[in-house]
Amino acid sequence: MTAALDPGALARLRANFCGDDAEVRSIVASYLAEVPALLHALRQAAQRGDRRGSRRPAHTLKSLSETVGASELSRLAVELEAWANGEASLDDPLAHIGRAEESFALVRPSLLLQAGGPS
Amino acid sequence: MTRYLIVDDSPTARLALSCAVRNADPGRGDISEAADPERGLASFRDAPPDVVFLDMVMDDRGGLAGLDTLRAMLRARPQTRIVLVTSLPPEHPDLISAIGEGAFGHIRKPVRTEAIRVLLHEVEAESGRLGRIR
Repeated sequence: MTAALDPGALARLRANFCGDDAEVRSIVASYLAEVPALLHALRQAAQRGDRRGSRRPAHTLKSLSETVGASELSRLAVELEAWANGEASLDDPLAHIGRAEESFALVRPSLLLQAGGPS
Repeated sequence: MTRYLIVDDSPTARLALSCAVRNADPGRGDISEAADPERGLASFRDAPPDVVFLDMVMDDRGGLAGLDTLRAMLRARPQTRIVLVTSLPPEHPDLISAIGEGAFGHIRKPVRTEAIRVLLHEVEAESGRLGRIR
């Protein structure tokens, strides 16, 4: 496990959904498939200076990352969502998105292992 | 059998919620899913559900999609219980408006089976007071 992934998160995911391992694996696999598109949409919107267009991918990234315990990525998404909503400023939104991409790259191997996919 | 409809544009969120609902109501529910408000409304009209789980923040319309969908569903079938699924804070104006306009309640993302179970008991209790949902 990396620091970017909350060590107890997947156990909590299993407990919170009262589900079996197959359910947890399918949720994690779906997360791994969905996040790259969210990060891509965020980057594209930010490159256009389109805060409003950043809102939905940041919002979704925040809650999905919290679901699987990618706490660092969730925290970065909270800040990006606040920026997208005009509630906070970021010196360099694209650099912030870069940190989110790095954070995803860090958690991805651990989550792939949990999902039962190739590492 | 209770009919559920989940409207959320995130496949992962739909999957997680579907798991939570299935585990909260084992063997008794029929769950449909829709990936956007338009398909959600179409499904709502084709096979009216008893309970809708509606994401409040969908597409790029800044949260209006959730409210618009709620209003259209309530106009079409007021007796359906519509539950907002959101990570918006409880004091968010969209959430306050939605509750004021007739949403049954809201649950926080990430969803938890226990929260769904409590909510379904509330739906059941209210249905008992007001007569069955259908």
